[in-house]
Amino acid sequence: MIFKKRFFGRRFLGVLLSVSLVLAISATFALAQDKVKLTWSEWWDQEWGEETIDWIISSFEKEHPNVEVETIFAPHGQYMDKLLTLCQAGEAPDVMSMEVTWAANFDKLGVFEDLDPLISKACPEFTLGHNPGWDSWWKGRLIMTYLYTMSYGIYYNVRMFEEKGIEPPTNWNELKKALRKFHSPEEHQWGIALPVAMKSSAHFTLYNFWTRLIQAGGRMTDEEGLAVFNSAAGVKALEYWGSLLAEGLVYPGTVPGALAIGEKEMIELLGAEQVPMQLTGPFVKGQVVERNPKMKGNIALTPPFKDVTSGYLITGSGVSLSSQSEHPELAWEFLKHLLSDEVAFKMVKEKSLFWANTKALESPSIKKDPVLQYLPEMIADPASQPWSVLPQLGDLCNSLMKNAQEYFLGKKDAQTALDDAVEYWNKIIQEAR
Amino acid sequence: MSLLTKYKDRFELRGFFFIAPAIIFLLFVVIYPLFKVFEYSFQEYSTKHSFIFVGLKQYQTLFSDELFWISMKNTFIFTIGTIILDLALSWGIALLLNVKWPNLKVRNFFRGALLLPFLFSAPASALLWGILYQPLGFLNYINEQIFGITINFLGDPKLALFSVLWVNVWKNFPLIMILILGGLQSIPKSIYEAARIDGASRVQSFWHITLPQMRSLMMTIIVIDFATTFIHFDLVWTMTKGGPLRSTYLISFFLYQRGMQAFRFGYASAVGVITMLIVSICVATYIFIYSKRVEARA
Amino acid sequence: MREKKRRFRYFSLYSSVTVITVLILFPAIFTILTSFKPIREIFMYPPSILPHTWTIKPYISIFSREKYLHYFLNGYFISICSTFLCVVLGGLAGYGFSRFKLPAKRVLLLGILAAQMFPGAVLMIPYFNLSRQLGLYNTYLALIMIDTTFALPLVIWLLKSYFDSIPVTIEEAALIDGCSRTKVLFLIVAPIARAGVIGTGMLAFIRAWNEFLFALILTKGPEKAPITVGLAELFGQYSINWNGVMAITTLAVLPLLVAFIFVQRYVISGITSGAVD
Repeated sequence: MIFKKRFFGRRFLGVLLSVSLVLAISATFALAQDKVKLTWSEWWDQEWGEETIDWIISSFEKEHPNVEVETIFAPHGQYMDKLLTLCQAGEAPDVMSMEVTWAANFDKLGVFEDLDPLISKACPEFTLGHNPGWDSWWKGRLIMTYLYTMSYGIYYNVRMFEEKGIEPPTNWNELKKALRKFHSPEEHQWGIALPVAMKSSAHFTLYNFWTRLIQAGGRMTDEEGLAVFNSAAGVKALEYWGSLLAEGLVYPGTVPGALAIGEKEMIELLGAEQVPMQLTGPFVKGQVVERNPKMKGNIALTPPFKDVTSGYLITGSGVSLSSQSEHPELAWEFLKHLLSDEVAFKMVKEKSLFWANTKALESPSIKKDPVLQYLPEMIADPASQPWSVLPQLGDLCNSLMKNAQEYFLGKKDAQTALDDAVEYWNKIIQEAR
Repeated sequence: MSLLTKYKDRFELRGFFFIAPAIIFLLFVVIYPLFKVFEYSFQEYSTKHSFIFVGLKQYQTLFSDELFWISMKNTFIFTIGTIILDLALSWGIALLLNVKWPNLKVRNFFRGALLLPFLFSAPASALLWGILYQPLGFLNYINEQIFGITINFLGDPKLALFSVLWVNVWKNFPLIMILILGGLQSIPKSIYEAARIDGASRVQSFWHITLPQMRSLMMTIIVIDFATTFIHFDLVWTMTKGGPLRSTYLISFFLYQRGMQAFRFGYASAVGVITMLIVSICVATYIFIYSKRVEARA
Repeated sequence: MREKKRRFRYFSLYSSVTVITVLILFPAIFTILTSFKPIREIFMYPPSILPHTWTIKPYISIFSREKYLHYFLNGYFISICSTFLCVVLGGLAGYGFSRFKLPAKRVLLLGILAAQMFPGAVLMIPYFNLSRQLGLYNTYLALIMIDTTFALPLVIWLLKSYFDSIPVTIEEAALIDGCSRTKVLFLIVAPIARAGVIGTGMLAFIRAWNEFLFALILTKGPEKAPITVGLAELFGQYSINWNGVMAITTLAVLPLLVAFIFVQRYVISGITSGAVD
């Protein structure tokens, strides 16, 4: 008798629990259905930290309570693969983080919305803060716009310079002299490390070669988009870096040794204070300080250099909008949010990123920041050039690096190396037409 | 006799029931992608989801690309080098672990500990050895202190392939060692005892008993090692991305960088098909030679 | 005299194996030690083995994030399921290929290696589309099937080889006594082949555990992705979280090592016919 009652009680409880569970699940499901889902693909979790990404999303969701933003993350090295599989399957994220390196490729898939109509018709609040130099064009369409820009300059360790009583260099010759002063192989000390490993072919192309090329008065590509960097200026640029390597001024003192150093090692050497200088971008501050809190306030950017020109390379990473989006207006709102004053000020202040918002760039904190202070000047210089959208840019950089390595190892002279690289570049560029 | 022939007939049918689940599974999961890859290899991807039929053009292009041949050469060296070192290292350790040990627990400890490299993932191994291989890293620190030299493991075009080859062997060999050890331990001890009674030396029993018994397993190991190493990607890509001077550029890199990363899917598929054909031909040739030798011996 | 000789043999045995083990394991131990170093110390010269400054920051950031727990659990679940599937399908198939005269056996054996012979990158798109069409995008099943697909051919080959080396006589005796084929497989052959099964099981497990490209492509995040994806997150655009990678690797490898050592001891103790010493 009693047994039956208890058994009945348990069963009843069980039924009640399952029913409420089902109700709860369907309730949350129903609630979730009400929200519009926006997808944003990015690779910045490691660089900015998840808290920053979460803040960007939640500050947007606060303004648009019916929207839920979902991030699709892939590490930078595999981002293109992941995005490729999504795009070719028709599931392109509404907002796609994009690099100029990949943009031409993805345009082949037809996933980009032309941003020109959106930007040119945007409200003044947006256009006032927007510099057209931050837009990337390809085949007559505006396919991406920068979230942040940068130029590459020489960053140095203030303390190490003061200890040696050396002034930071203000041009390429002084750089060489400073490197000589820091050069002491017995103490395993060199003035700079260069990203000349094959895995850093893109970094060498941009940081070192392209930057030096512009300063030497040259161009990477001409108005028709063909490669022309095998000019006298190009030879001068390549031979500059070659001479540093040949003189043993570059970590770790020999050419084969240097060929093992890539960008990822380079940044750690600066952070560990093994090397006092680095040719890199402003993101170096955030990365280095995180590793070595002692470096806070110890890194500074040298004043802009001038050779034949005082121009610099303007690069950046940006976003594109999907042409297949189900919520194009919301995607555009999110893009504007990413470039909004709120986000821009935060990213400039906290991550030392040169956010693509003219108002944020005028903020006094930039002038006061030894890491950022000269960047506006460098970017705004009339001789500065943005990097162009090119097909298969990863492979192109690889080809340039291979030829440069052959030059560094003495297998080719600089002119031949550049001629061979240009030949391959133009073959690929013309095939893409 | 009639009983056996009846069994032989029945074997045939029942055999299919055993292999059917695996075959059906593989057919189901593999047939569509394989078909697609073959299909794409005769096409070219132009804008907006459209493939154009181009016949053998992709194949022509890849055969005339110098980098394709460099990659093939590197891949063969890498693969055969890996197999040789894998076998050498695994046999050496397996034999050591297979002799009579005074303390089994100690032997088991070593056998377990030596598994460790196999458990590492490719990026982690690449990073770890990248640090060790640094020009001013630990290995060169030892080199400098003892020999007074620096070895540019990853920066010297002549050394880089062997440096990464060694890392691949380091990561690979424990599995092969375990397989060889398992094979050694399944040889009945009675055969060795009988040989010893007959007066055979240790070397003779190794040559005439151990090796023949292990032949089939060795063939399998070599085939598997060859097929898996030929298409190798992750470890070496993370370490060198093909440099310096393309000395570590493998065929899978060629497919990835000139094919997939360039969004030339037809081209990539053609490279894939060629790779598959080459591996199949090598494996088939090896098996053919192997079985001819077995027949000759019988 | 013989006692001395024996002791010398044992000594040289122990020392040679110890030397080899130390050389092979040094990088692994280096990994564990590096996980406790601050990053700036990793690139110091002269390089250190033991950390000068011990830091557990990488471990704290791993343990304080829920997603890593998901990554690990996903990895275990997917790998165990894939291993189970491989061993069952592969065991049956290996036995079938070994014991039966089948038509086109060689062709079939080569054919099943087919998917194994393509560099993964070219299969990326077809498999992604296949998983979408089957509605398996971002599911455990997709990853289990992919991992099994890549490991199964190897498992079949290896188990066939193991079964080949086991004499047929015991089975034939049992068959003549009236035992059915499947009973023979499970009751008689399986225990003997345990070493081989465990070895190939380990291969299948590690193959699934370390799968990266397809794990990244076929999942959306910590919900279903294994630890390889979690590890890749530490490879940033400009820098790598070196000691974080070492820490995750340590946490990934040590439990597996313990498990495998345990499993191995269990295996070898089960062998009766064979060179058990």
